[in-house]
Amino acid sequence: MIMRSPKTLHRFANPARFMRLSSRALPWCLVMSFAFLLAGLYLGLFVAPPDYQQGESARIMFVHVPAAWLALLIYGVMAVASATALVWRHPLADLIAKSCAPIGAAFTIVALVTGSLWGKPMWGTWWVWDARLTSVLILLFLYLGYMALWQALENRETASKAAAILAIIGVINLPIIKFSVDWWNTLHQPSSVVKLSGSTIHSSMLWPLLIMAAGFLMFFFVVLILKVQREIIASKVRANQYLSSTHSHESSPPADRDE
Amino acid sequence: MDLDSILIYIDMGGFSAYVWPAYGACAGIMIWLIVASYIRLLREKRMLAKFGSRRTSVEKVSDIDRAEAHDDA
Repeated sequence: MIMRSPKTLHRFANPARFMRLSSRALPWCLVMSFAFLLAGLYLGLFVAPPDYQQGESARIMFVHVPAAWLALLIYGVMAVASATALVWRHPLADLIAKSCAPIGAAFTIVALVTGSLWGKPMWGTWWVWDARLTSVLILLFLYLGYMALWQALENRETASKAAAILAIIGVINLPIIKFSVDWWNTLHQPSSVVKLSGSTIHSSMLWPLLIMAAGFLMFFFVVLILKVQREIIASKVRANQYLSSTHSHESSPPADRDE
Repeated sequence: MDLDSILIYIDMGGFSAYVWPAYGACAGIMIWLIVASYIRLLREKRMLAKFGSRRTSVEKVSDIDRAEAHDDA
């Protein structure tokens, strides 16, 4: 049984409306992304002081932490969109979920690579199988698995359902990533920004970090809009190809007539 | 700002071999994401333009997708 979608959801379910609104929003998101990223880079590389223990290597934080936050956020968006597509058959939700996966995978790779580059001088190793690093690697495999399902199954409806179920099941990994540093002994440092007791990071480092995170978020919106627009147009191309093939099939004479 | 202070800054307190590759990897992946997405969007737009003025609503597309799924089954 398909549940009735809420009125507001239904309003934005129209791909034509999405194309119109997103085309208007795209340049603003692009400008805001560049502005935040440039300001964040300036503050992070020139204004923020070096860490008293980690020295200048702590500047890796300004790309590592926003990338890791975004990797988690994008997975959340993908799971919500997948659930919306499964329950309400929202025509855009499927496309949003599908578009989120490669972006999320890319930011997970950024988080892993920059984390590794930060780990080597601080821990003396590029990689360690501790809870935080391993759970983030599992997040990358979830993204890759989601993308592989879409590629592997030819029937779009089956692929969409299978990928959506995987995305929803994978949500269990998000709290594991967040709390892994509290639940287990890890080499990775505990949370210092998002804490119930308040942030323990100094404002001279917190503000560049938050500004970079805002830039990354805007960048995500830009790439998401481009990818969803591409998916909508690809659907139209597929439909036209299907119509062309059926039309040419109907108009061509039957094969036995020539024999 | 003289050359020495620029070199000291680039050295990043001896961590330049880690800090700059981290920023480089991040920038490379972000540039690839946006450029590849834009090129793919343009390619699809060009493909759609080949079909000319024939209009197809996305509601129709989902019907067609459903019909394809039905045929496959």
